[in-house]
Amino acid sequence: MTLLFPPSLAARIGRLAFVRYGGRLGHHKGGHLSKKTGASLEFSDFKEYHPGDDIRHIDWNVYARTDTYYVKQFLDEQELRVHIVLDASRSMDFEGKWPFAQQIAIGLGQIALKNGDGVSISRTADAAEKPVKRKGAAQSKAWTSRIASFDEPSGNRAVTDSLAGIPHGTSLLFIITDALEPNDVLHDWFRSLAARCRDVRLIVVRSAAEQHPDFSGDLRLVDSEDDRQAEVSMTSSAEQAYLHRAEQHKKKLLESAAKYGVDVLFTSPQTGPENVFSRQMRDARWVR
Amino acid sequence: MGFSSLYNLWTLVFPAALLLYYLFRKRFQPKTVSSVLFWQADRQEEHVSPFIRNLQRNSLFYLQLFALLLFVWLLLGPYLKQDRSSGVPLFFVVDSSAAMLASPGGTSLFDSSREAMKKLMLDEEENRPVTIITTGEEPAVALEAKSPSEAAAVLDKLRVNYADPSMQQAIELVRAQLGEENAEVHIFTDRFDRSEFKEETEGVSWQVHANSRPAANRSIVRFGAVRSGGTVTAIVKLSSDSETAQPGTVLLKDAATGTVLAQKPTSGEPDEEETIAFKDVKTDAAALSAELQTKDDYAADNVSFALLGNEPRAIAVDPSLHELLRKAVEAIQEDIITDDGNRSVPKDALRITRSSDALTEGDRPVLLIGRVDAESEAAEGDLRFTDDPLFSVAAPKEMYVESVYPPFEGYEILARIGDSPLIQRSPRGDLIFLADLEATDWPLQPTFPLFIWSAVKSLSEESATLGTFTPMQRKSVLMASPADLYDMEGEYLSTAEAANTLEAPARPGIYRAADGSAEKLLAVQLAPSQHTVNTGESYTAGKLAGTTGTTTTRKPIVWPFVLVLLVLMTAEWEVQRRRGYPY
Repeated sequence: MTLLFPPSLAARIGRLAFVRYGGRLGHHKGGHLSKKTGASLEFSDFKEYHPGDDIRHIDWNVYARTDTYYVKQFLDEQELRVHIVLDASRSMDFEGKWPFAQQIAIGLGQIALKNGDGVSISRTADAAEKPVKRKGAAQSKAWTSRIASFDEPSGNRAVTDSLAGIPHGTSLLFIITDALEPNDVLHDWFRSLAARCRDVRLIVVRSAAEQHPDFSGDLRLVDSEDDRQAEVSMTSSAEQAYLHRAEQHKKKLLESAAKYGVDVLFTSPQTGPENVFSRQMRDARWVR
Repeated sequence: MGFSSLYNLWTLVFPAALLLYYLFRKRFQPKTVSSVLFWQADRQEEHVSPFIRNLQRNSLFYLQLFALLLFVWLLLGPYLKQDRSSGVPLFFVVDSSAAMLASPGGTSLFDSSREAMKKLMLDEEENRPVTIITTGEEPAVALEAKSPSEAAAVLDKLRVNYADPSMQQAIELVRAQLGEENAEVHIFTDRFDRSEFKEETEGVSWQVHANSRPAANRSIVRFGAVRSGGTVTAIVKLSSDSETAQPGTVLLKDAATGTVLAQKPTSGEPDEEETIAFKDVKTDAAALSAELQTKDDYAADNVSFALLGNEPRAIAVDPSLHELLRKAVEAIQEDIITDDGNRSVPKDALRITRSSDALTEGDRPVLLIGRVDAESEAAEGDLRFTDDPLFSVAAPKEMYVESVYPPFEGYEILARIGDSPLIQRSPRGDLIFLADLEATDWPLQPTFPLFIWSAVKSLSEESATLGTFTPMQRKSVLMASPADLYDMEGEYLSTAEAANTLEAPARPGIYRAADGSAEKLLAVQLAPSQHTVNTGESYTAGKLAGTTGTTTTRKPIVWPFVLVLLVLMTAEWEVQRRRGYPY
């Protein structure tokens, strides 16, 4: 699957690391400083000795000055638990959205794996499917091939129904979707996501035609997921109405997201995976 | 099966339009997109009450149901009752006879009646329907208009038809048109006496506008011409109605060419009759006209026409008849055949006989004097004549008749003595004098030869020509096929409806009637009554409550519903297009 995720891209991504905004970390040792005290080299605080504390951590210099036992505390380094929800509903199978989403998922996973974090991915297509979990840089290839082997999107389950697939203890949640759901549904979804995870990042993949419809004539548009239809005569006013509605939708989506602390990134297959990681995500301070 | 409103076929436009709409409807190309989220218009209305959602879901059903109900409603023929103020109808009866052409005051009576009518109409309220009836052989509705102004605009089309007016018939026509309605009737004529007016006047106001000015009139009351022995003898009888002497000249003309053959002066003494005779006029014209050139107020009766047979017919006289009869006939024609039963009589000869069998023999009319097949009875009473041309030259004033024969059933009666018919005419044209000449003193009177002359002339005229008609008169004629009528200039006028009837033109004159094989002349003469211009009294009979009334009319209301129906159909189509369209 080199075609889907060329090594050059992997090399560029390898240098990146997630910027973390709060939230829990995993229980396992990792490369990310935790707020908890632990065994890292990073000093955190002093604390009076109580029986049971590790005497190795008593700061004897402080004892000399104060005649009281103080214990040095260090910050702990823990792993980041990254989970990716990949929208695999049929609406993703348009104009290169699906491979692009796969590329993003692979890239995100590789960033996590390179930093020694655990990463898992779940798809909306199958609720019963167990999330794919990987940890450690060595798993990078397996991760890539596993995601590349995902089936073409076929289901019509909305991404908003995918809460069950998110593992407990997820510290960083990425959702790759086209977010073509009504605003109120999205609003509710954001609320439940925020309850599930402190750090939710939504990557909205929209194709060029979705951003600016390029068809003409009298069309009976059929929804790919359900059988809803819309008869449209493509005129400039119809297009304007479309753009207006899309703009409204985006505005409301951002409002809801801001309310529940969900970060949103709009991208499109035309941007290319390199740009998404090295430019868009960097600009959004998602990675560094 | 028939259709009562076939003209409504034009509404086929609607289905045709629908069909066109169907053929040229928008065809939407199906295209699958990731989501129609941004394409779908507000579907807020779907989240409404169950009742409205039910309406929406079954909209096609409800629309069709409503359309059908409307259709049933239309079949019931809905209408609105409307009270409309409508004027009482205005009727004008216009005497269209020739006498209306007289112009005692400069303008003709007809023109001044027309002006009066126009003035009346323009003064009237707009909502009154107007009917104008012209008199004639058969009175006719000349004009019907919804408003007086509309009628006034076409009033100039009215023309004189020269026919003898029958006021009673015209009034009957008005009555028939009116039914029970109220109306205002104006009658324009020269004279219509109150004594003749017998109409019920309830609800109808009758206003007679009569001529009040006497016209100075001289007229040719009778003009006859007979060809005998290569020359023509013509008699012109003139009358004068004027108060002063009106001298003039009588011209005898060839009717076809207009060349003057002879002329004689006339003194025109007031209230006097004059007879002017032209003798030995050498002409071979088929028809003659007599023209009186004088200054009077009525020109139409100053011309008269007479037809001349080409060949004088031989006259066969029964020798058993009165000697004076033979003398009288000899005065008309020199060669007389004695019809004593021994000698053969030429077929086309005019027979004067006592034998009643002559009425059925031969194909030419005869003059029958007395009857051999019946007994005569004593007669008493005064002599009375009908207004027949036969007596127009000279009518016997007083006559002693001792006894008369019984009349022939069904024959026209021209003269009576007391109650018994004296002179009859058969449908074929035979003249019958129902008394022996010996039983009367008529042969001794000077009118007798003139009567014989008239009789011979009318009997012989019948054969060579179609005879004399009054204007617009319908008469039976002997023609091979429906005749075409031409005037003397050769201009085509009309064609008769059938072979045996002919309707004369309105204008007096000489006309030619041609069937396939032969051409016969006919003369159109003014009726005797048209030789005088009468004056009468204008009066009003009956009273009208008001000139307006209200009528309730039913105004059908179809169009609004049809429009609603159309809108429904369009809505149905739209629903069908949006939902039930099989893709």
